Amino acid sequence: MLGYDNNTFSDMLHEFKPANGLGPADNVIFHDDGSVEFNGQMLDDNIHSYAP
Amino acid sequence: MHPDQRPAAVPHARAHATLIISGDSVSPEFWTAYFGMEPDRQISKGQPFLLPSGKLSSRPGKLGLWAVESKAAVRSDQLTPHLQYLRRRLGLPRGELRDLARTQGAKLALWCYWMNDTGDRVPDVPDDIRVMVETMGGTVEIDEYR
Repeated sequence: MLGYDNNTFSDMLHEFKPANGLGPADNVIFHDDGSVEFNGQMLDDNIHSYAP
Repeated sequence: MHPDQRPAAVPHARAHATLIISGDSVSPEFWTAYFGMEPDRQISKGQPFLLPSGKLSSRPGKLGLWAVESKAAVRSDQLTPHLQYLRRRLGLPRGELRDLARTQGAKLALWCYWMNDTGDRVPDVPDDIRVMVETMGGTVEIDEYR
């Protein structure tokens, strides 16, 4: 996903979600630039920021 | 270093657990003092915070967050050893924790990272730990990946 292997991306998402007040079951949509959409709204955060 | 002397690469963890206390009014400093230990992760609302890369975030924290992880201390593909480690390390259960969290509007959650790469792995959360967390007003959250 977005150029990361599955293990790396899962680690990133595992930290991204609680930092954004999301729960594990919350479904998000990732855009190519790393922006993240939840419930039709863009979150003020970027998944690339959580890369190791 | 001779190639044969290099430490073997540590395989990616397929399970680990993190106690997370979070919320708009959560002060990491309060929980650090309460538990008497530095967290593995913390966010103060409105302040930059440390990212996994070790860099400071460019955006301010959206909420307060205090988290202690099992990942570095426990190597197991099952959750139980991770959960038992957190229980010991944090001295759980703690009778007053429920009210303290409620007073601060804090959410207490045991986040369980679970890699279900084979598609047939079932997360193991012992009943006594689930009951303990729920008694403290918290939840056990399975964060599953494939």
